[in-house]
Amino acid sequence: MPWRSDKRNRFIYGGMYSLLLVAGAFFAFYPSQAILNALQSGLVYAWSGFLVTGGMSSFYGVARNKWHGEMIGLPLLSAANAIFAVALFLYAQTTPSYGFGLIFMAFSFGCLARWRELRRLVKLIEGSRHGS
Amino acid sequence: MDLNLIFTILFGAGSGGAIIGIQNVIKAMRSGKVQSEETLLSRIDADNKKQQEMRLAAEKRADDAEKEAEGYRKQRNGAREEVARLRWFMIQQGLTPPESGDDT
Repeated sequence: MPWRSDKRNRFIYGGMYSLLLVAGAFFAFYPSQAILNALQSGLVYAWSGFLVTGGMSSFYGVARNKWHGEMIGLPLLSAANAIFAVALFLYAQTTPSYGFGLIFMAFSFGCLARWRELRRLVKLIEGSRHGS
Repeated sequence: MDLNLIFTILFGAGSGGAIIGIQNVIKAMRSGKVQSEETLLSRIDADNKKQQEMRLAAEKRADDAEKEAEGYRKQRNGAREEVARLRWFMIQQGLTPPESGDDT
């Protein structure tokens, strides 16, 4: 069965990355209380920078239909989501925040899986290029 | 476990992953054009197809060789039967047939 890529997925990914980019910019100006409790002020900007840079890079890659944008952006997005998940889990101090923390951690794993998938694809093609 | 350490690890992992991504991009740019995911997938498809064709061709060659070997085996068996018949005929005529060599 040949591999297939759905063009609509690009739009879905594009929507996801642009929302993360906007969220990062939003959090830079209005950070969440959990993040403020968890991180020092400089790191809050670094964290929102991860979201903005990762979202921008990934969105650029998807918009240009090239894999390199996501390859750079996805680890940043994954880490930013994981940090937010840990912050929510430990510092939000409300019961629903544990659930939100788990959701963001799951989303972080999703980004990581997508990154690994792309990396495997690139390695496969690199291997076949050297092999042939 | 120190919570700051968890955040440091996460920040480090994110930055490290991005650096690995940048390295991959630089490597890809040096070796040629950075391609779309569809192009990568279609190239893998083409590679798979090529490998499948090569496998089928190799299987066909093996089958042909097996058929050829079968033909030679039949030829050898026929020759052995012929030798046995001749040896039997010689013995019937009171002659001593020569020592048969190793034909394996």
